[in-house]
Amino acid sequence: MRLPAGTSGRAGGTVFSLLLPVIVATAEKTATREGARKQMGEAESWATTQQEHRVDRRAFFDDAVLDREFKQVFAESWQLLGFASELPEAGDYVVRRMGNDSVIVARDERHDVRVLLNSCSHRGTQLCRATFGNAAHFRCSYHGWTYSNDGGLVGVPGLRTHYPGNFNKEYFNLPSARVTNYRDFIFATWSQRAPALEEYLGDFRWYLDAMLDLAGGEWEVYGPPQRSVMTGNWKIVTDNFSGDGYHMQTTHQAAFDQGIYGETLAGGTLGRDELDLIAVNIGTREGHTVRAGYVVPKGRRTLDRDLSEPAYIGYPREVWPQFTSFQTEEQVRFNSHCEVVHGMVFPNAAFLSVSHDRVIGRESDPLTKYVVWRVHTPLDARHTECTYWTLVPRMMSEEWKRRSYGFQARSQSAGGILFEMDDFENFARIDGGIRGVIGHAAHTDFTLGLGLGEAATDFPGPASAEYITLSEHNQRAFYRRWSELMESGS
Amino acid sequence: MNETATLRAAAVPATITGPPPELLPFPDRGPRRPELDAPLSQFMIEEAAALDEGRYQDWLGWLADEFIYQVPVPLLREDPALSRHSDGAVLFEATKKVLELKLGRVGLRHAWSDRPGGVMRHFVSGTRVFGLDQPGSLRADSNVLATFNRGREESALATAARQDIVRADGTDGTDGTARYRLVRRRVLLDIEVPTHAQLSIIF
Repeated sequence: MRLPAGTSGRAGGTVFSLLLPVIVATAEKTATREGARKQMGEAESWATTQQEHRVDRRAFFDDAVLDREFKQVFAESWQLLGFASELPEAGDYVVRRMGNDSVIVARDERHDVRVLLNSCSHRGTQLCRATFGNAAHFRCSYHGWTYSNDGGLVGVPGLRTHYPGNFNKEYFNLPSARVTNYRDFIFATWSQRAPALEEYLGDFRWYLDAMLDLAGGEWEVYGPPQRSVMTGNWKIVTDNFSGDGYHMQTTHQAAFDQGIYGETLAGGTLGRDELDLIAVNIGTREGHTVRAGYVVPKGRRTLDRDLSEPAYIGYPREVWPQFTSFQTEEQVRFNSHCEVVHGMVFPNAAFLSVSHDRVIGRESDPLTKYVVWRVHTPLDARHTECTYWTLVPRMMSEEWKRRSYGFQARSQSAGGILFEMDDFENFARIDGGIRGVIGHAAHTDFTLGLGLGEAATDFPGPASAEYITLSEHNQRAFYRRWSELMESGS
Repeated sequence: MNETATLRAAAVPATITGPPPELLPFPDRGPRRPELDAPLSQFMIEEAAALDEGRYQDWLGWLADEFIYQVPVPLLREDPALSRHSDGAVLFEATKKVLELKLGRVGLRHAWSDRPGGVMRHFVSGTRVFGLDQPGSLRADSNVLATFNRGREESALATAARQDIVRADGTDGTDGTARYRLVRRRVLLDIEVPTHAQLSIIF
């Protein structure tokens, strides 16, 4: 794409060349493995292939690009702000970031969830400095303008005596975002043009439902979320979650060597012990992604499981039949034998579900799953605030929930010294490596697996699903949508 | 681990009975025991020095088998009288085994965030000792300022209230440094939203 004048320094040049005039939306080429490389080579030159699947590196450190993202990507998208169960009582509120605005997410007196700009309509003063609490009203600390927790301006000191007679209080109601509570997930957008959330989620919705229905659909957030600040652009960590299986063998080699994922997943991922991890990569036209991994005997290319006894790795065997009864047949085919699933909701929410056992627990601890949802909020182009929520099925015992949460905290939380730290390390190393004149003259490549995936026609879920364990299929879906929005209005 | 430390480790029961300590509430302070401030302060200084100097086997030797390390989620609330940290949610948690794995990473060539290695430094002060209901167990509360440095681009400083549960390990050490085992450590960070560099510190 071409950046408008003044957006960045490279006037007129092709900047975000992840425009895909041929390979749009779900039409990414799939082929048999045997012929794929040859076909690609014959069809087009490397220069053409690469130019269509790369991102200008200034997108990963330039605040001018980030300003454009705030306006054209974040403000036009639905963003995950948290979970309705974080706000059980009327008046409960949390303060979150939505793009580069601070917002109050509040449950009002009618029990509706509201998303209000955290800024007094008078001078713009932040109304809430605390991160969470309970309040029927938000009173500005500067001149005392007071808002009800549905955003209405209800009190102006001296209104009758010191303001013009035609003063319109409603004019100053707090800006209120569109909010949708989808199965406890609170999404909000400032955009009036954005489609309804269900449409925005598109084909991803099937996968979200499948992941939630697995345990009967009733989940709860374990405790207030973890938050931390990492070095590196928000897209680096988000594209990692979208589908980067390629980094596992290198970034997390130490974690595998130390056995923190147990034998099966480590063996499958590293191709040890007659095992392979086979992943299905799903990228939707809306930019959302799922990568589901199944451990199979070495050499197998598609899923071929015994579904007469569906298995839910990381949950106690006693609940497996019950889990099966909660789901449709297609959902069982997606969830059964799944070792790991991760992905993202465009633009900046991500999720991961995986299991640990006694290596990070205690000797008697069984393999236990955790599900973590995250939001990656840019603080500036080079620093990102990560918020982590661990979700646990309501039906599980308190002991199970605590163990699941503890395993997330020990490996994948902001302080996860055995796993997460090596990701943070690499994100910071990217930040350290791309900002120079020469460093950013190169592009970031997304051709891994291009044209090599096999269409997963037998896979139960919708969207463009491919059997290919190592691919940037999902990252391409993410940057394709990002590129569309960055181009719009230019 | 030297011979004395090995003998001391043997005095600690190897099997854990009862529920995992992370399921139990952190013990409240009992009566003040000022006569123990000096020996516990000395123990804390030696323990921190082992971490700072990379003598990890010495440090791990001072942890009880059921040791649990927790960094509760900091909470920024409107009312200053309310707790500033969650009693259930943690930014990080580790068993002794997790800490062994972490400290063992310095010997792994592919543990990227530990290579090149960083330098941790602890400044521990104000240790005050309190009795607990459990005989032989004590609570020692300290202030900790810790720094972590790794090249020009990674430099962190963090302050915390540190709360330790210790128990006498059953031996009569003559130097006053290793008569205790750490059973539990809770780190109450002063910063609400720490960086990953701050969280990489073992307080």
